[in-house]
Amino acid sequence: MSIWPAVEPLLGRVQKPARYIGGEDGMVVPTHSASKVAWLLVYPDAYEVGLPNQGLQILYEILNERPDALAERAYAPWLDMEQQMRANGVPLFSVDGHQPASAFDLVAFNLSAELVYTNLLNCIDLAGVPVRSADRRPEHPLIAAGGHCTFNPEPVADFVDFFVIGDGEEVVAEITEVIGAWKRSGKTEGSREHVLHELAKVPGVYVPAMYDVEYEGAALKGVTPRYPDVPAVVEKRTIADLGAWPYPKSQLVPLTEVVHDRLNVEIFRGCTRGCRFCQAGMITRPVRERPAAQVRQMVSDGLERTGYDEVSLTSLSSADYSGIDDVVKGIIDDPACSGQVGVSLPSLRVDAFTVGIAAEIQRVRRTGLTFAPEGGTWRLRKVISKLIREDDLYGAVESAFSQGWQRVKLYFLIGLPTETMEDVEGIAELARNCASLGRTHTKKVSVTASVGGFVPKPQTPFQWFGQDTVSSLKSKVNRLRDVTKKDRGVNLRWHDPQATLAEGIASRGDRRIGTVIEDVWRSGGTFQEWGEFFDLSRWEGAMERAGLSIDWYVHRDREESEILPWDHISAGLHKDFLWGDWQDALAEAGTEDCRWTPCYDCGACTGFGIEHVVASNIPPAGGSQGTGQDLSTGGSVPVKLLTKVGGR
Amino acid sequence: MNASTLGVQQPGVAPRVARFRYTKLGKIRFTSHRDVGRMWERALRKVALAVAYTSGFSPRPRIAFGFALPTGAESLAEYVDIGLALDRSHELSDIPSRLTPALPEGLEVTGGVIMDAGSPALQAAVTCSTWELNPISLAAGRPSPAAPDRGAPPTLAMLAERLDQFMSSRTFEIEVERKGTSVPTDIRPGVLAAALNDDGVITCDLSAKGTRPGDFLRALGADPLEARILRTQQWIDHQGGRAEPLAPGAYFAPPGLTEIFREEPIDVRSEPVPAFAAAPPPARHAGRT
Repeated sequence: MSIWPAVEPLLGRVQKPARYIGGEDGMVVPTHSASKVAWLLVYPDAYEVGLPNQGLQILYEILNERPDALAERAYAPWLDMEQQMRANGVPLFSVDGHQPASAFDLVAFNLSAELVYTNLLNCIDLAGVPVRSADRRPEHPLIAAGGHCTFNPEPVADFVDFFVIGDGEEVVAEITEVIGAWKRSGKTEGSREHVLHELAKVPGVYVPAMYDVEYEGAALKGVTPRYPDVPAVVEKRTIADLGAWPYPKSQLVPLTEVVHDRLNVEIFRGCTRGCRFCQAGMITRPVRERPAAQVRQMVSDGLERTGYDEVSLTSLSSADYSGIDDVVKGIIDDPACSGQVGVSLPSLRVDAFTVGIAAEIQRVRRTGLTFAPEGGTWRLRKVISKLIREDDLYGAVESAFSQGWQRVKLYFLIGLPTETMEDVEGIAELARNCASLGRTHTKKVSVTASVGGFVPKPQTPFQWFGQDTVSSLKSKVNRLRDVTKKDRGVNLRWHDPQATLAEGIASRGDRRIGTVIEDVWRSGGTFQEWGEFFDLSRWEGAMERAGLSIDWYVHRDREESEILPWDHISAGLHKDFLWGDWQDALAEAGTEDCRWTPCYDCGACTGFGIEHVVASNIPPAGGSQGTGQDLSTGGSVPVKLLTKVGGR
Repeated sequence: MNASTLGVQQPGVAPRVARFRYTKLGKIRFTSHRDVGRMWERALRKVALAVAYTSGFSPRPRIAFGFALPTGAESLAEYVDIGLALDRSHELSDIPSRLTPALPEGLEVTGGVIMDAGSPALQAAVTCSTWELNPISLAAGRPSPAAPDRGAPPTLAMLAERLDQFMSSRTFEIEVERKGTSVPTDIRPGVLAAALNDDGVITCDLSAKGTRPGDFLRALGADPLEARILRTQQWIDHQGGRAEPLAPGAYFAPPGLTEIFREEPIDVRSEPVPAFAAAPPPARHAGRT
């Protein structure tokens, strides 16, 4: 039953009440029934951050298309709304039909950043469910989680009944069937253990309660299954063909302002650039491109349906899509798009060719361009395998300024392995040189160097690396401030090094970190992604109360032989491949993009019997970085990985 | 529509503006005035209306709204003026019926006319609005669950007494929030008429730039956050009386064009209305004017 009558009187008393009303174009208000497994899909951050999430929207549609399932959505209520809800006994509710969380069989969270973990606990609590799995009873909805963070599920393993590792498109069907059987059985006393055991047999599903964790002093000794039919290692799920999943078909159009407020079409999943700091690039392999014809269809249908005048072609590195220029020109020249459609490519590659595409698609609004060299010197960029030469960057920037852009933003990381102050100062030098290039074209040049602290992530070659300390990161930021102070046109921005530390605690923690997360949440530490609410002292205090060492969890280099908390979760990457790549990093040797060069057997393709799928066998012109080849003009290369060519 | 014609007047063709009336009812009342602006922009693209764009580096569609409806308030009478790129008015007769499905639920287009572009803008022409304020509907006579410390909302008798007191005063000063600061303000002149019915609904006319409905409710000792606020009419001065902004004669109409548009069913409120004194509905406590 809808609890809208209880929600409505609260909305006059909160900021941005439109966060809680639903009503988006594309919304479904499903009818609950005994024969349908009810999913509540939750993004545990503010509505305006969570609404655009494509993963959640994809599953929302897939589940609502099934006759045996339904899905609604919820987002973390902002602090003022939470206060009103708690004072008036209003539980977490869906924005679609304003159903209370208790009306659902499972509450499934999207975890795409570690600092939302305290919001996860808050939402479970607001749902009226005990925050620890062990305290739950059959009448409570199951608590599930998916998303990139689940590649190390251990820090939140005590709070989540089951995790889904990898792509969700297919596995949600299998989960629905298991939970449907549980629902039909009447969810009797003691049945919760049984349904979790059944879920643990579904490939890609990890049920923490089915595993014993042993420690030897501070060290982890192992995470082992308690039953013979529960897998020792949970392998991620991967859909082989993105073209078979043209979702979302009806992207939600919000009534109020959100981030990424435009049509989003995913053009490929996975990335083979091999940047060693990038968890997304490691865990989403192999590359699966959407057929070009399908991309064009989704764009034109989506624009017509939504009324948006901007489309973003999303992926981890959109300029790497084979045939990107044809797709982009197709959109711009499509008469149905009226010549008024803006196209944006997130994660621009750093080269002049890419800027050429950008010039093509931003005929009207040339505001700013963003590049991500990540490291300040060529030596460091070889360490992280982000193989951008200075000439690539200067070529890109020169091209941008000469074509009318006035603002360029450069993303960098500090605290990378082997980094010296020389590498840090290299950031300032690159920014300074870019500004000088700009001044030959425009007086109003602005180059912003945006600097973030590096957090080593699980399932990457840098998972063994000891994270930089807050004081060291601060001194690097201070040096950058000093050396850029007198540079005209150069602006410096940096991420709070204290938030970097908290993210480090949550990223590579084991199950013992759950106590810390619960402590931070109980002390009121929600919305930790938001600078105004983040407070490191909560995290430091919680670590101390739990008797856990920040140094041991965050700043310590790991040994090759060490059992890592996520060793029983597999993204397909062989651990010896990752270790070898870590050693190559220390030897300052980059890795090539394996889409256009022979396979180096990371394990992602071979382990799952799948391959890269590209829309065209011609690599994108200018895509030289990482391949060691001259691809400046495009042209065919010997690729044996291609299994599918062209549209479906 | 293509880029070359946007924001450019066609030679020899008088510029035109379409004025629509629409509702804002139900859950969507919690969206802001700016949100509604974006909904209209998307809807106009969906129905492919030939909208004029501003010229310059970052062209925007020529859309002008009337006075903002407060977030949380509902309305039967919102208005928007939309510049048309081409003299394609003959294609516009089915636009109101096509616009409603293109807009979110709760926004319904209930009428429209074509005007010459020289007609006064809504924000210049609209002088006052009629509102229905229901200070007890949400709380239903109980202490508010959302704000238990505030105590019970006023009873009908209390409201009647306070309304009489307010309307018989020459001035009535309360603290009014303006840009984040409280300023003592006389809100009496902005209340042109007000009456209370047996259901506790206050029907009132508030001047456009004067008193806001929430401030009027506070002056009566009611909590605006607990009240239903509904705008039922907006008025422009017309021939010594007043008329709604779509009424014939209330704007400069291009000859021969409005008729096409008026073939669409237009709400009765588009008819000329009698002069002001007769406007408020029968009520127990008629206010002074």
